[in-house]
Amino acid sequence: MTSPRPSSPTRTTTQLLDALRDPRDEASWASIDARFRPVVQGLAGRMGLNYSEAEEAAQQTLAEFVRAYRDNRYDRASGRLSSWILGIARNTILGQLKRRGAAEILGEDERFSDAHMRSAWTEERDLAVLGEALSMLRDDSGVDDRTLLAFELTGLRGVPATEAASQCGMTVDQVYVAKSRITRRLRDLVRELTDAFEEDR
Amino acid sequence: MPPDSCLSEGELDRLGAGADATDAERLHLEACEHCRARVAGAKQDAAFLTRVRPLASAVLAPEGAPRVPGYRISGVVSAGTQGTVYRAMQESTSRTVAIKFVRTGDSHRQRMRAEREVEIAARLHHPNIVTVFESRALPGGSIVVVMEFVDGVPLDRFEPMATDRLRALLHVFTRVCEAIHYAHLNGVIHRDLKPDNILVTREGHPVVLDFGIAKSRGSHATITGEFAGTPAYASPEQASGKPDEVDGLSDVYALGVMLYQMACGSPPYELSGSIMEMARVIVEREPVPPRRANPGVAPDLEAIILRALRKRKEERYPSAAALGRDVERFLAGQPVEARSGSGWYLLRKALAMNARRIAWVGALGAVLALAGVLVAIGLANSAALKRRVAQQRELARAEQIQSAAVTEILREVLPATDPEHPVIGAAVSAGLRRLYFRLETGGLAFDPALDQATRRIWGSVYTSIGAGKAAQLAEYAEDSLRNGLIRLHIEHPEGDHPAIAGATFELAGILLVRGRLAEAEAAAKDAIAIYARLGESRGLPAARCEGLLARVLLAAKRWSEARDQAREAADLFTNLAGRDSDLGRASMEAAEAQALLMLGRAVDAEPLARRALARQFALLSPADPEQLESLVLCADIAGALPQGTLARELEAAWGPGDLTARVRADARTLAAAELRTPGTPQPRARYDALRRALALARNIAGDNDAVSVAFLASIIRAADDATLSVEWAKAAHEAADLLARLDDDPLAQLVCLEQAAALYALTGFEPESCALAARAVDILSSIPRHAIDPLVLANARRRAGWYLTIARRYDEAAPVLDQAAREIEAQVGTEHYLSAFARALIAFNQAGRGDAPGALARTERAWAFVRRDPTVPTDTLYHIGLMHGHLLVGSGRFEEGHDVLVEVWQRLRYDAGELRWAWRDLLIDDLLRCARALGDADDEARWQSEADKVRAGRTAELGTPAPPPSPHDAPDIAGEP
Repeated sequence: MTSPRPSSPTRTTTQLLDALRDPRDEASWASIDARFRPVVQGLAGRMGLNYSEAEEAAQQTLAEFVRAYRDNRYDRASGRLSSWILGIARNTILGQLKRRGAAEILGEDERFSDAHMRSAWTEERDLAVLGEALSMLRDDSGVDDRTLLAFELTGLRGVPATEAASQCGMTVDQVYVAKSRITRRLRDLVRELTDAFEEDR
Repeated sequence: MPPDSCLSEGELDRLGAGADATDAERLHLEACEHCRARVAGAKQDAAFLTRVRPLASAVLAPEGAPRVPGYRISGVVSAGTQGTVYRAMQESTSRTVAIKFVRTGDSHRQRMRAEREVEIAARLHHPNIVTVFESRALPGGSIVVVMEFVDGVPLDRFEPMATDRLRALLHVFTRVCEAIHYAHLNGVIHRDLKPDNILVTREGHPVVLDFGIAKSRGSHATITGEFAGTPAYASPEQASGKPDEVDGLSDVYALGVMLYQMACGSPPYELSGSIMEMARVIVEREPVPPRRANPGVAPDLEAIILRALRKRKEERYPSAAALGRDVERFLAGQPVEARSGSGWYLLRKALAMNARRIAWVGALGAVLALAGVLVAIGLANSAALKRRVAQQRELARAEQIQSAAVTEILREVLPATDPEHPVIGAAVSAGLRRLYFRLETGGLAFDPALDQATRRIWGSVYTSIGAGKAAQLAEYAEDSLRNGLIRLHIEHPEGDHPAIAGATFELAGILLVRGRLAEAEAAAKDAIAIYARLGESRGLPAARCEGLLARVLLAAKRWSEARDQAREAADLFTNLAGRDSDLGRASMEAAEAQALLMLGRAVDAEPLARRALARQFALLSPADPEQLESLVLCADIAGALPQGTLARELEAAWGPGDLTARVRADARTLAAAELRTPGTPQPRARYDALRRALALARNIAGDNDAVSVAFLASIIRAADDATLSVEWAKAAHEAADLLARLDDDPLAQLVCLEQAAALYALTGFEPESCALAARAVDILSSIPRHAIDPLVLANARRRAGWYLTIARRYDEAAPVLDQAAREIEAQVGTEHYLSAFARALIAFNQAGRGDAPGALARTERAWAFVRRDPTVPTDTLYHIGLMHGHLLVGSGRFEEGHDVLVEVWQRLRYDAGELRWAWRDLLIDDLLRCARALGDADDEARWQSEADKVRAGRTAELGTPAPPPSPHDAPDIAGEP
């Protein structure tokens, strides 16, 4: 049995949510899953769960989400989908921490405040979006490996162009061209993906 | 730049990053709108990169990481000589994995390692062995291996959360042993076990990694001449460069080194210098005794470590599982095998095997397992048996060498006859074969007396196993004895020596079993003649030879000669004192009776056979092969004399019908169970057969309490095997009454009472359970404090209080439980799972008396405590979880109750059989109530189907469609909806 492939990463959350009404549309479920799982898992990690606990928290959160969604418990008018999932994730994560016996610290620790969790969520979302965008660039047949490497070195790792040129076997000018071209592609992709992530009204 | 040409990409980059423009650039920009727009775009790009750069380090693959399509590499887990391991996310599933990368430039050896790792790991599916998902060759020839990501630290850096650090580490260690044993059973030897290759998660779950240099059956992957493994953990056979000798016992050695480090915090010996120098230390230097390195190490643990670290691998534990089990025994406070003497070894082995079988049946898990062992010990301690035990000890002292030889045999054979082993017969054969080769390659030549005794005892073990068992083994046994005889003749050229006579006697036994009767007769007569020349023809050894000759004549169907020979041998035995001669006499009376029966003189045979069986009932353990042989003889005689005494007595036990056939069938059942032959008949049949044999024994051996006690011990074990809880309870109850009548050891009575009370409680016999629990409490109060380990006393008290609670006699139970909790806390402190358990029981009782809120607070604390501590036995965890969950549900806190109970259920699924049916009912009932209260129809359907499965399972096991009258029904709680 092959697992369903997520559908296009830039389909908006609204489109995916609509498709999710149809229980046979596993690809849409896989897309929602692929979109939110790393974010929830990352958030759980930041809140102090270890790897397997965080994995479990993500699983529970998404299972609870899909159950509630199919039961019509999600009211779009009352808030964004990501806020809603964040709410489920928050309860799940705090529940796990409590069970681990950390109940006493929950009230006092600033980490668990709503505001902090929301900003942590945003950072995790940005991370996920960036990772997804980079991965799309890598899979893009129009972008060759050397160009991508030149961009990574100069744009993301801060390596001087001359050094990058010698590492990639390119001229310095070619490196600059690569950096500029890929930066623009990446910027567009990040914007599209962020919009797709948040567009749910 | 020329003023009329546009800005280069480099210049744009610089300006975008906020640098000042040169005069020429400024001039150009003023003139060129296109370039002004480009600079604005470059500034936006730069701002974007400034924003994402801090995030990039988290999502970018580390420098030098491979690109593996489908995976996003995010960091380095470890980098070493065996390649770099990265952490990655599988894009299709968002699952985190570990990817090991072996570069093109890496050596052939490393590539082989990677390939072998995949091939081997694909065969192993064990929760404590890393799962390998796939391997791929990348363009350019590099290889990646994708495997399960384990979020843990190497074993030597693992810091358990539990208060007793070493204990928690030892628990982890036993799991590692299980995993390695599993690999061995699948033909895989790790060969590079070390802390770095064992990752432990925060919860204390170990995972064994890196089967890269493992050796698998049928592969010749060993790289000859190269040193495989890591010096600090290499066994002497690895260090001395003998790859052919490396086997599972080399892994046992490596486990021993790790165990040493756990206990002592330092390695068993310092290694330095060249590989050659290190190898010499490993081969020659004995480890620093653990207790010298760390005086806090318990003597038992020291013995375990040293046995695992023996230089000669034959002297180590026979398997990783055996090492793990001994560590478990140490943790449970039971005697460890590493310190066992020969005689006790056998007894304990039998008891330990029994305990393992009890464990899964045990409603209270380990509690009853311990009780099971104690019952056996208790029965053995009973005054009626003490005489016999004393006699046996006498013998053991007199025959020390013999005992040592028995140990040698047992070390090879018994571990292999572990009932968990899939093919017992094959394993026994393999063990005996190994023993043969060990003997024949001079393995025991360092002690000639031991070598000879081993040969002889092997011969007699083989003879007692009987004919028809693997002809090749008989050949080995005979060969081994004959070789021993040759050596004896060289040592004693005069020819007449007791050792030669003894070995000739054993040889005659083997020949008899092999059906070579003429040779057997000659050998027996030779032995008799030697004893005569030595002037020892009236001693026990000579009498045995005469008896053997009678057996040979019987086998040859020379009935008249056999009858005369048997009578002569019986006379010799009669003139000797002691248990062995009594047994010899019984055996010869039976032989004579057999011959008489064949001569058509059943009337003369009957009293002889009856006397022989009575004596064997009194002297041998139930279902001993000789006893069974006489039983069959008696049945044959009863068949020939339907109006005789034996026919009447047998019928009283077996009921009317074809007596001979039914007694024979029972004898076969008991013999097969005793020898643990594959395809052993139904445990129920064994239980019934033992019950009938006891009825007969009581009839013909008179009201002999020792016989009854011995049989009851066997019956308890058989009922346990057959999961006949009520019968088990009744037999334990009977044993308790018997011991009470004998005014015997109160501790033995106590364990019988407890076991009976527990089983009655779980099968719904509440009044019986309570009566026995109350008796147990009385006995507890009468035992002087100094005469018993306070913790044993406290735990027994705790259990007695529990049974009263189950029967809803809360007021009687309360003071008993309170006292138990105080005593337990005084022994182990409040931060211990036993204390948590005791507190939870008090809470449950408290709920029964109407104080649900107070009770809940207590069970909540106990539950939180046991979930934190990985050393808590699983059954304790279940029971506390069940109590807590039940109280939550009873208080209407369905969601929380649901979470707790689901957790118990999930843990339970992996330990099927750990919990008795009654508990499963309670668990599922509660989960059903949660589902209904929460309006979750899916969940309700699920638990309803589980309830049906449990009902079907119980019907299959207990044969009763209706559940027992809910002894499990925990307190009803006020305010319950």
